[in-house]
Amino acid sequence: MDKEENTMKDNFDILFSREESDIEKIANNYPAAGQREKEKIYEICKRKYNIQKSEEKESESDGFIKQAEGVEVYKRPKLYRFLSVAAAVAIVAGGVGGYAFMKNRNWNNFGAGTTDPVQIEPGVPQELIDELNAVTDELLSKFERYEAFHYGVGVDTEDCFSGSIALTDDPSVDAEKLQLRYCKVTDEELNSIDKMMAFSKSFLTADLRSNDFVSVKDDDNNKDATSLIFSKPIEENKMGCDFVGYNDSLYSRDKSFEEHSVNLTEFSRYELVSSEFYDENDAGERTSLLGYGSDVIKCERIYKMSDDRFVTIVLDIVSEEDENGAAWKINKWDIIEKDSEGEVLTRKKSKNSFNPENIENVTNADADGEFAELELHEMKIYHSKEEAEQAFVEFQDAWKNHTYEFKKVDVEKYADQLLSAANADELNTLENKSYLYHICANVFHYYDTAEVKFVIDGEQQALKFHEESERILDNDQLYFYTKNTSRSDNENEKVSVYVQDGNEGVDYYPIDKTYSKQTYSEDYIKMAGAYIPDNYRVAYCDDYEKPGVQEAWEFGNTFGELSNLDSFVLLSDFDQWHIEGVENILGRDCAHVNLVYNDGFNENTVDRWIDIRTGLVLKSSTKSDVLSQTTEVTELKLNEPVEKVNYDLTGYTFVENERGGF
Amino acid sequence: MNDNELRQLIKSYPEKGQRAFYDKYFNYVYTIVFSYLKNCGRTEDVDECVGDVFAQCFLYFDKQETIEGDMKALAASIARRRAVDTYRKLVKHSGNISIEECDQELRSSEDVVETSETSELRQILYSKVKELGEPESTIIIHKYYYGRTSTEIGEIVSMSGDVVRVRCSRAIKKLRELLVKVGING
Repeated sequence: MDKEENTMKDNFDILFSREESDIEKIANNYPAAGQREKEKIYEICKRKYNIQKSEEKESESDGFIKQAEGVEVYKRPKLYRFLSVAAAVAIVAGGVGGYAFMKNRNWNNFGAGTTDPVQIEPGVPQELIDELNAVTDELLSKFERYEAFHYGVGVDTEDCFSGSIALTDDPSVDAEKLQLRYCKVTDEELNSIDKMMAFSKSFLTADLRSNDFVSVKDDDNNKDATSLIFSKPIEENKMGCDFVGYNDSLYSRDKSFEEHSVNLTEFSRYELVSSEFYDENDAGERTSLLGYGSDVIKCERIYKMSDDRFVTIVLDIVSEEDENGAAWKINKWDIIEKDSEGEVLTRKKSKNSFNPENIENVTNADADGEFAELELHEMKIYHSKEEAEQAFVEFQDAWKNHTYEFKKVDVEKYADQLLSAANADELNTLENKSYLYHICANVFHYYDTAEVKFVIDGEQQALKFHEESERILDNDQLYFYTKNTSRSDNENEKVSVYVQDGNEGVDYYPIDKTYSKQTYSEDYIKMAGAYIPDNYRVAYCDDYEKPGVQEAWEFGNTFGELSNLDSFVLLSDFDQWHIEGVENILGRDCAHVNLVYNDGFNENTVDRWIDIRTGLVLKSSTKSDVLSQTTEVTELKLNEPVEKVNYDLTGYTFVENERGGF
Repeated sequence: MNDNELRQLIKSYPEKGQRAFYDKYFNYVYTIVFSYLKNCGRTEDVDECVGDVFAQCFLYFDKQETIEGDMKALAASIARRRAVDTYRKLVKHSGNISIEECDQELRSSEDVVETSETSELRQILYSKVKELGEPESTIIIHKYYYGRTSTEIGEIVSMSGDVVRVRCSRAIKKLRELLVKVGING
């Protein structure tokens, strides 16, 4: 913090007052927290309320017995059972997608814990929808015209200049260069920088258009002023300008000249399939257009191209004031091109939503036949809380935006290494352990489909429980089916089914004939298979109030795991586990891993058998003073076509937001 | 929704009523709690304390046949009491200052009569911050009053952290000019 800021902070100290009138001033005029924090506190409040309420009930009904037996003895099995159920709910609720979770901090996560669907409320007047559609039509029409200048429309492709621009300003790097070409705009309505700027201002916000324009002029000393365009590296140049005012003419960047660039904004040539308006809460979930109250209107339109490809455009539409008054403008856009099978071919985002490149070609990770280099594990420990928070924000963005491309490592090479190890030392090399960590953390990418049955048996404080599960997972189609049947000493048999197909989820309970539904946001679905480098998936920090090294965050990709026992997070501390050997389970080579950890209550000894070619955990055993539990896969089919399970909810009662039973 | 409607909603549809009460008084309760814990608590402590306040309000509603009295006064009373408890607990655990010092600190803002000059200065500052307009005034309040980072503020005002930083720096300059105009050197 500089001196100026300190002075200002000192001045602001005067604002701090517990006077009722001052509190009211602040409270009435400013939001005290963001929506996400507000929702989080509401959860805290409900949790506390429920606990206190149930404690009051218990003390009213069996207070005497509780006192006689001791609270700890009575409560613990219940607590552990609750945690076990909660973990199962997390897996099922997670279903598809991923989560980022920062510990020791109040803002976090865009996945786990936020998967409750927010229904688009009915009742938005048709007049409003019509008006918004008309606004969007006009904005997209202008956007199409604006972009067309970059793809040979309204320009003279013979009258052009070109150059190359460095992708970095780091002098130590032999910078990669991007070739750019600019063509003269011939459209008389928009053939000067002033005209084009005014046009862009009519439909793009200042944030979005701010780096689109540059103006240069030749003078006596500098005959070729266009070289100025290419003199600055890309970082400073913000991907190169889209329009250059050169002397008295306007030149448009010819994007058709650039590699991987395709025009996906020819909306007038596409068939409009759907147009939807909505709002979005801080967790990125869709909410009613009228419900959430942010200043941004989200619009998602799906267009069909003549060859059955689809273009989806998501717009942030906001009202911006300029000298002509307030007008609706595009503040952000995101275009995804998919083939008829739904496979993403290309994605382009506006400059203010993706950095450093606004063109992302989505490719199959190993389509080029090359393997990624295995990242040797380092336990990432931050020594400053602020540094950890800042890094979390950066990685959270990267996780959400797929900044890092996932590529498989050479599975057979590491499988051979594990199978041929002659002794414990050869098994427990840093490379082998890093490989197991990698494949567990990225299990989603190492198989396509799985049909599996597994059995869980356990005992907690003399209470026995038994659970049988059938699951079907299809990572390509983002399809997930699970049927759980559970019994325990103090509970009747429970059956629950959860089916997720794309962004729609339904869970139903055949015994009490109830069901509920969930809808997942596109952003959430997009996070299935999200990736950041392995060493940053879990990080630690030793600068929190509680002494010692604490977990700072974890990025989990819940879709793709067979059960809640698959979590790779426990493996992030290499000091607490080792490989015992390699064994065969159901025809699969599995590394037997033994780990010992303390969960804050008890020391747990865990054995896991991890399929060394997929990362799936096929068998697991956990033992502590209070819990003994084994999970074992009894049937497994991998990478075979799976059939979706049909279900009939006739006679079932809809229960809003009820997720109990798992 | 006025307090009467809120009372009826809480009794007829407790869950909806609780949420409506929370939405109506969240800012108010949070601000009260924050004013006590700003120097000794982390954000998590403030969050937990605010959660406690509302949980206690909800339990109170459950026990009443009919809810009477001023809802805002009830929220304020529970918030102040809870915040003081939390403050004491945090100070005790930190071990940095004695309970006597802690009580002195808690009393200071209630008991010590402010000079009229301080009070006037504060009102000027409030009004000048308000003059900045939105989102600048919210950015300034969150930066210097609540002590949030640009990224956190970005979530509140729907902007990126970078944009918040730029706007904040401009707003500070503007605020300084406004203050100089009324004879206050920032």
